[in-house]
Amino acid sequence: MKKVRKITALLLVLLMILGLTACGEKAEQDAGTKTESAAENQEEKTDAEAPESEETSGDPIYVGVLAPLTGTMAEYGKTFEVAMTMAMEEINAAGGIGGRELVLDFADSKGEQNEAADLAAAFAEDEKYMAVLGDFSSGCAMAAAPVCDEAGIVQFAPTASSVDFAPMSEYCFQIAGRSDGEGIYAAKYIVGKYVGAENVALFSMNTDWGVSTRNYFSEAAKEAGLNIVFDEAYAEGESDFTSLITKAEAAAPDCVVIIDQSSTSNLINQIRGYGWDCQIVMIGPSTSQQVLELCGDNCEGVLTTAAIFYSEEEPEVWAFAQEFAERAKFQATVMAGYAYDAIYVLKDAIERIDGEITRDAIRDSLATTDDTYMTGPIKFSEIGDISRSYLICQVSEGKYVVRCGYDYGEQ
Amino acid sequence: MEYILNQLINGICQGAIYALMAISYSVVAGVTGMVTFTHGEVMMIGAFSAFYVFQYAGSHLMLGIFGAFAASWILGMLVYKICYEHFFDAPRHISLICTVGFSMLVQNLAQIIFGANRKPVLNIIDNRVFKFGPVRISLIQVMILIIVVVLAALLTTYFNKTRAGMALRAVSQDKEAAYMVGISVKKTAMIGNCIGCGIGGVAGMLLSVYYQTCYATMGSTMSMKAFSACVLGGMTDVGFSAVGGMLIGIIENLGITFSSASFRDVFAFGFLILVLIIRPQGLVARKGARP
Repeated sequence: MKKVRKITALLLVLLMILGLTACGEKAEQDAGTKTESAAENQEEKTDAEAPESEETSGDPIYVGVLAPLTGTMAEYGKTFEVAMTMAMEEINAAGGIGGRELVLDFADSKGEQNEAADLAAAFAEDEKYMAVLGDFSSGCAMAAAPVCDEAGIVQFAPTASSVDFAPMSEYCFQIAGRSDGEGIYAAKYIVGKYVGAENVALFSMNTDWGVSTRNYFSEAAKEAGLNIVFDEAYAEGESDFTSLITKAEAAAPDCVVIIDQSSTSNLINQIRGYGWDCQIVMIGPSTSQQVLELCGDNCEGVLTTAAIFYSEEEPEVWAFAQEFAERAKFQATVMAGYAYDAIYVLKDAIERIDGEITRDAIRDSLATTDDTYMTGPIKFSEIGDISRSYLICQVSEGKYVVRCGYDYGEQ
Repeated sequence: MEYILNQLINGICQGAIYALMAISYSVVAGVTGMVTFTHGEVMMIGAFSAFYVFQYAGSHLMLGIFGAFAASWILGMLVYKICYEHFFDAPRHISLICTVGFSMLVQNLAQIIFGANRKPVLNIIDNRVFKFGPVRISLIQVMILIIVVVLAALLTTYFNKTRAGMALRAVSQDKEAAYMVGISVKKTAMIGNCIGCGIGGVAGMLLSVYYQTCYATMGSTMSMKAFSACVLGGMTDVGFSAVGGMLIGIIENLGITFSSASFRDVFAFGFLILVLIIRPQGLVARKGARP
């Protein structure tokens, strides 16, 4: 009996080791690069995939990346990892930055603010890192900002859109567009002009981004003459909305607006599951393929804003979206485009430096960025953020279609 | 009035989900005599097993229930072997910490294996909405209510009327005495744990069907409510745990009705603390219930 138990235990241990090894290999294949050791794999990969690529020489340029690789926002961490690794591979295959290899070191913030601040401190204290990218959410990026400011290292958070992030330090930069932009656009042009609603129900997640977007939306809605008849914020990660939906329906709105980055699909499913056939506008997920997959028929007719639209008509953008989907195993969102562009913006900034590459030189050079990238033109304001234009998209027969172009607001 | 009635129904249905999780939790806690923190992950594995069953075998609810039950049963065996078997005589916090560690391992492995993104669990049942005047209730809500009542009744009968159930209760009450009357304590405790985990898996599956999605971290948000409902019911009593879950669901939803959704947990845990101050043994009638 004891022997059987021992053999079983041994088998279980072997199985676990095998499982972990297999998972490790899979994760490395998926992510491409994770740590310095993975950077070595990267060289091999690059050699194999792009034989004609130029060789890099000299010391690599290290950049630390904060991303929620695990936890409830892990999907976005994966987006960062895949999109940024793609850009890094392309840059290195083309000879690196001024002949030097670019190495991204990903650190898992788990989407928690204290973790983000600690990891940012670790990057800032290590002199080999020339810049910090991330974190994904505005809250985590803002938690890391004082640390980066004190150390005098650029913190470039491509997806942070809170209006309060960039003003925190001269070292803070973001390219997602300000949250006031998306909120104001949705209120004035989608809900007010396109839908023509009068009474609006507003669901928003209670995070830094959610609160600031909600405030800007509400102000713009009042200016546009809309009545907000229901306005409820809920905790991040909330899963049951039935009581809120009952409350919202009792207020008889013409249009429901959802300001959320993680539970939008859940909310849409529960609204339709409740038997409520109202016009829904979502702010946050943009043209997320995942919303389509998770909601199926429930999201037909849902309206959204999009700063970028992955369309077959633009081959370069489409190729990025296809490769991203292949690597990440899910479709690219607008966040993937921002993460991808961030690497090229940083690369160009470093290349523009005339002289020694230092943390301060990168900051000064980054601030002068003025070029067009995959997600559109990028030119930082004095405080380090940008304003974007939006498209109005709608879900129709299971896919997004563009209803109004970038100039709809001016018409 | 109609509005409050609708909110009450929402509360009962949300409570039914908590109740289902609490039932499975109370079986585990009752039989092993130990508190577990792996239950959220057990529910998550149940949901994912059902997801893959639905994906490869079609949208058959019964097959999904069977798949969820079987996978969670197997995970329950692992949990038992790793976290409980060697620690029956050790201080309770040892196995408790072991379950915390094991749950983290399972959750992270699940993120690697299943992926970090949410998976759609759509159109498993034809979710019709019944309207009785101004009051609405959906088919899935009715289904969950029925499953909770049936499971609670079945388990109560099993524990009180069958020999195997009585053996489980004997182990739950006093392991040494049970051993002395010829009950195989370890085997019985393992089976009890696996039954609890299996039901937890079914709860996870129903959650994924109800919310039409499943994801690797879904368990952590729900397991704390299941634990609270279980504590409210006196930890080991299946029926009272179900009542505890139901009460937490109703209090939460009525609380939201009159204030904000941000205070959902304030109502749930505030109510729990209030009850425990007045009745430390929970809702259960007898004092000194285990653990």
